[in-house]
Amino acid sequence: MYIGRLHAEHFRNLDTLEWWPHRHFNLVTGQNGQGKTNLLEAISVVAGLRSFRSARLQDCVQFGQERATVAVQAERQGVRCDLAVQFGASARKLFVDGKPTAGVSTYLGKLVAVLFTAADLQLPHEEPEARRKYLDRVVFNHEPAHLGDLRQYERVLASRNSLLRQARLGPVDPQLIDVYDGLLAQHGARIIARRAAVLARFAPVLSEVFARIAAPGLSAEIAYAPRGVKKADRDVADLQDELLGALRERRDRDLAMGHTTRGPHRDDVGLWIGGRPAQLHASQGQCRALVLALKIAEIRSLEASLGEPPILLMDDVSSELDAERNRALMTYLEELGGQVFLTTTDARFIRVAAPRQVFAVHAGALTPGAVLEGAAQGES
Amino acid sequence: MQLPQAIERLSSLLARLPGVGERSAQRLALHILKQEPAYAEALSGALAGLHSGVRFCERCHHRATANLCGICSNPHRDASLLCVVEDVPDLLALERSGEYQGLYHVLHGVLSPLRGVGPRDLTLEALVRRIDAEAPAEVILATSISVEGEATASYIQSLLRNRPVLLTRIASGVPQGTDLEYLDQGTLGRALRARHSLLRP
Ligand SMILES: [Zn+2]
Repeated sequence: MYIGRLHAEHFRNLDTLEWWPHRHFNLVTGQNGQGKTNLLEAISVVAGLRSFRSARLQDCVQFGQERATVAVQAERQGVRCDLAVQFGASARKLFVDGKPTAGVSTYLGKLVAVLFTAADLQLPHEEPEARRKYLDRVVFNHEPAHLGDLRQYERVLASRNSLLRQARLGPVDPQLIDVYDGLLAQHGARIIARRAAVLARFAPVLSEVFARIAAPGLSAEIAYAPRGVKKADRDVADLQDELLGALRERRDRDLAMGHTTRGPHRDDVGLWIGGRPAQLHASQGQCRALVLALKIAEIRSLEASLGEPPILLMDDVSSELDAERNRALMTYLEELGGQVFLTTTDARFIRVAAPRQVFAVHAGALTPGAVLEGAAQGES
Repeated sequence: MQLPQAIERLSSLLARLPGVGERSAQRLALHILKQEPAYAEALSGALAGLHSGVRFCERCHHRATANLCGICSNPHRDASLLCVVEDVPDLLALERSGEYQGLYHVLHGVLSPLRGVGPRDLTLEALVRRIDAEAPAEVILATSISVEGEATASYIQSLLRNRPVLLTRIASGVPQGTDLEYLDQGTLGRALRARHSLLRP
């Protein structure tokens, strides 16, 4: 899949944009604060209806404007598909092939983009929430329905927590808490089952990719660490029963804490290098190799389920990787053959020999540069 | 001030209506001003008489002019069926679908701890009393297919646990998060016909 044309209006600091990106490598250059990350953000918004920088799409609307529009002409499996999203103060509007559509499910999945930012390199050292989000993104890429389940789960969770806090101020009917326990177990079990199923397919790919890019003899594993059930690879009905039991058992404690202490909102993902937890025992270089492997594995398993490579968005990653990892990454991207968007302050960081085009971003305006082929300048 | 105070006053009141912004409230106020004065008088008369002319049906809590609403006082309605809805627009949507001939019970809301709506804020006690008194054969839970609607249906299910009544839920083929009133009549009719029985816990 690739984007043939991208149109953006009133999006962050970008001038009204008509962009015909290169079919393979797009090197977006510019100093910090000029808008190169905004371009990647626009692509991720039109693909996944979410921004990787703000919780609310509204934050992407240019200051002083009511609404923003991002539209793409994309091609998937050789079939053209037009997608557009409008958002702002009023309700979000979605268009597929020029026709308004109310359902997110008919929209999502038509254009799939994988994002890789410098912040991802910290993943092994982050709080569990960051790894959970990473996992959910992987799961969502495979099964878009996951997003709806997550939203509902979050709403049930917020309702239950609110009830637990109300119980501190006055009596609350225990039957009412039972109701939210039941809903939490029902929605939570679906989330756990999906996370476990996608991760089971994903884990061997990660180990294999890591073996290719890391020092010989070093192995890496990823493992789901659920916090609500003991074993996650079971029937949804069994997971639901177990989670419900855990919630009931923790009721008094939850009432005392004022929030829900068991459930998939507390899950983590264990990352292991050489049989030991990465965040405790691995070097910085090993951790970065692991994150790189996580990303490549994500792209590969997504490619397998889509039947073609997804679009890749890389925000200022190369400057954070050493020469060897950079070479491993670029070699992989060239082999993959999909459409890639890379931002960098200096195009010379990007040692890529595949057909590519440089685009310069300055004060929200995009200037196309030459189409290049062959080895990058300055490469030894 | 850009506009005379009388216009500002009306538009600030209109702007409190759902879906009406400040600018469209001003446009409405100016539009009313453009009509014959008789229209503004009729409008204000209608508003003044609204509260005194409408009360709650004492049986189903639908809006009514007398003690009983038009549905509850209609002898041809099937009193063995009781359909629980969130609000009056949902009742009207079911009426429009033409699929339903039973009686209703209007909750006037859904359970929502996030918005501070608890069981006491709904007509739940009246519902339980009514089911005991009228003994319908079937109670259809037609709250919306959303987290709040599901929670409300599930809570009613636990309130009615020990009562000899068939409890059913409208089909969940209805898209998540949809209010019944926005469903087209065909979809709503299907959801009603495809209702399923809730197992007793
Ligand atoms: Zn009535």
